[in-house]
Amino acid sequence: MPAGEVWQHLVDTVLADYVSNSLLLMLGVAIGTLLIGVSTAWLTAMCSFPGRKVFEWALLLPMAMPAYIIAYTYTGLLDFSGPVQTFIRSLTGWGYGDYWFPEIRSLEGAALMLSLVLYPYVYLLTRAAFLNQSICVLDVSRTLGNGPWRTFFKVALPLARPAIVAGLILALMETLADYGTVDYFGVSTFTTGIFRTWFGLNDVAAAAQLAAVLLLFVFTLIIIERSQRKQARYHHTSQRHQALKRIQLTGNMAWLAFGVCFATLLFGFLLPVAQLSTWLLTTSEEIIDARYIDLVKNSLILAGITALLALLIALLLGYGRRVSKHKTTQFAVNIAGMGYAIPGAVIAVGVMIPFSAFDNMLDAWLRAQFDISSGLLLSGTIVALIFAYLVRFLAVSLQTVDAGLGRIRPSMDESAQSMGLSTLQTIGRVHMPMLKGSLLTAILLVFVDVLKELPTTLILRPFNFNTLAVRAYEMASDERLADAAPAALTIVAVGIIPVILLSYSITRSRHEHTA
Amino acid sequence: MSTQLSVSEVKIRYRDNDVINNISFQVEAGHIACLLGPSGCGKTTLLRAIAGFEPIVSGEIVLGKRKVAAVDFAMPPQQRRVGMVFQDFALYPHLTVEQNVGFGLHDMPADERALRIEELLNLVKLQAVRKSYPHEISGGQQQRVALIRAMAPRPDILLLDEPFSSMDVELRQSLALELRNILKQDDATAILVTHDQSEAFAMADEIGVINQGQLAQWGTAHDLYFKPQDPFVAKFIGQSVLLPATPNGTEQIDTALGPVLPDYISGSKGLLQVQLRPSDVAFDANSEIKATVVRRLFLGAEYLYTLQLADGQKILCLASSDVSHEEGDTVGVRISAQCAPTFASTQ
Repeated sequence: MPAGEVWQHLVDTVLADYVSNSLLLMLGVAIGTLLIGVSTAWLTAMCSFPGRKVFEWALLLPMAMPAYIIAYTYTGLLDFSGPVQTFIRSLTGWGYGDYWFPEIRSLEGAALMLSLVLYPYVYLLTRAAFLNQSICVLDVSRTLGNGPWRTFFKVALPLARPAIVAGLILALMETLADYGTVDYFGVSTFTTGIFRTWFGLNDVAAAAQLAAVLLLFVFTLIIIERSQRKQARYHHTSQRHQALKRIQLTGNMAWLAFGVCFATLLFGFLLPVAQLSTWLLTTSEEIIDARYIDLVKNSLILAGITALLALLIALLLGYGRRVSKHKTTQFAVNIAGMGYAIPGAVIAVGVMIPFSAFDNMLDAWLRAQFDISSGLLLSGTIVALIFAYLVRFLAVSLQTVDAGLGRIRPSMDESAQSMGLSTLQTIGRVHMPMLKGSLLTAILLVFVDVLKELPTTLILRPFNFNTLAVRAYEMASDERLADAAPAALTIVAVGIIPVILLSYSITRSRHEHTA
Repeated sequence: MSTQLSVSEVKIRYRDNDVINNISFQVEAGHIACLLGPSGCGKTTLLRAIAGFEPIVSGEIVLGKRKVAAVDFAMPPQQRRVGMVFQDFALYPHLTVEQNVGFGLHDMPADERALRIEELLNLVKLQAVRKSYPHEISGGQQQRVALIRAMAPRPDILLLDEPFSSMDVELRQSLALELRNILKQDDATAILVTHDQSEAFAMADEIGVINQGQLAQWGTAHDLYFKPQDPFVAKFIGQSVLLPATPNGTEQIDTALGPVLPDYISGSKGLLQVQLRPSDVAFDANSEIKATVVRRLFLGAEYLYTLQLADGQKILCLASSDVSHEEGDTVGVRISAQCAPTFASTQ
């Protein structure tokens, strides 16, 4: 098909599907993450029941689970030959077609999978908002004759609204960026559309057009998020903060609270990890071989190089912003930090087009002038891949480095200077010791994000170059779910590291608060 | 006595505004000087110029025998041998009290360094918290750590930027006296910047009052209070009102409160103004000059009255609380002072 016609073809046939499926998926994820996230946040922040302290951090664990991996796991658990249906058949004696069982590989299923791993965004921000609410405003409501439930819906929930929306927006951005889950479940959304147009129809321009429409959705979310963040400032109710007194739950209510939190943790983390581990035990011998070691090596190299480069660039930008108060600098650094909101598939398309254009130009010129071929210098190598990762994940290290630099006040620099230290000595004796933790965190966060990233890697990886995420995806696509387990479980295990960091920094900041 | 710091005709410009305009003063070795003025007058900028963090556009700064700043010349801060105590103390959170104090002693042999740290910790009685981190000690202790950290390398001059701004108001005066003691025991030369005159009075040997980038007056606290050379100083230091006055051909000059003898006349042309402190005005039932009580503030032994004269001018009057006048009362008043500072100015 000639260029331009593909786009028209897409508009006539599938674009409406992409839009409606993406919207429905977002709606489903919104309902799911709100129900799970807000209820668990309220329970762990405001109530007291058995296991609360463990749930406080354990409820973050599903963050370590990429959506496509939980999707493979549940498919294995719930399909016809999986343990659940087999168990039902053995119990009842039914055969194929004798009974109805919900189809997990559907739009609803995808929304459920995404909700199970994306709710921590809502949970995290909402819980922080609840904890920030002074008990006074809640007590006032009680003295005015409202019961605890009425108080929750009339006071606590509206006050936490900006935080809830902010968490929801993050979850929805991840939903839009998701490729692995929707592709596996056969739900046509923008990301699967971009892949199909790119690889199936070979139409770069139409893929870019799809990516542009997807960006429109993302920017809408960003605008909503910005306006909510402005409002959040007015929701600080009181200067005088009084610590929360948790509602002591007893009897059935305590068990209910425990049940809600435990079910969330069970379905979002424990069960999938258990299933993956079972598979790992059955397949590890044949899967973990020299080729698997190669995969791990590839992943580690990619993640390691990207994390270090991202850190260096973030340091450069962070210091640039610190030294130069120029508006252009500030603006440019802000732009550099926006990549995180852009879906990986969009970034991959955006990197592929100029890089391959450059490669082709260079190659043509070298052929014409010197009769040699440069091949695909950038677009066919990990250079393009690492560049795309940097675009997407620079924001992570930039934020971390900025937070660290923010703690070094200008007067500390000046005081070091007036005590006779040169700029280099000041960096060595004051900045580096104070930044150490932030730098390590920045490296870790980017490292893990790169390890998990699927769509960017799929589009930009060099020929025959595989990573853990790609392997898990390929195995699962070939219906070899059990064989995907080693790669999947490795990703999850590494993904737990930032979750631990996160829960640690949360508890630490709380201690400083009370001190 | 030798001059430790000499600031001559220094001008500092910030975005085309002269924030410091032709200021000159000297500080003797071992003295504590103070730059006093309302916020935004440029005093902190001047302090930072002495430290080397702001360039000057004209004039020069000489520290000890070394010229540290002039037109198109600025010795970098790390070579100036100044110690600076910052408003927020700027203690390094990753270092203990002891390590913070020793931070600037990097060129000293280890045993000498330990000795100096010991001496300073003793001086401010912080031996007990030497191993603590800054966030583990109180605000007052943090301030003393910041002070001895700046003093440790024996700088040529110590610069203190609003050192009490983060302290409780009740503590400030006693801390100021304590700080003065510490500085004097170490024979330090220091400049303090503040907007609070009670801090300046408690700490400084001499005070420079800065108004809109200019040095209004340089002198002891006593001089500033009793011999102001400038209407701004007269109003800024202590409480007083300035009443317009006209010569009447005698030694005395006429005011709305009757004639008074000028103590001295500062300035040579323009309108005359007499400085009257609240204690310079007294009630006198026999006086022909009448005023209305607008406001009355009970201070204990005395009342501070705000009175309005027939022509609308307001004056202050401090009177014993034995007798009391209600708000709205009409009372007779007169000037009780023998003589009063008088200014001739065009403003």
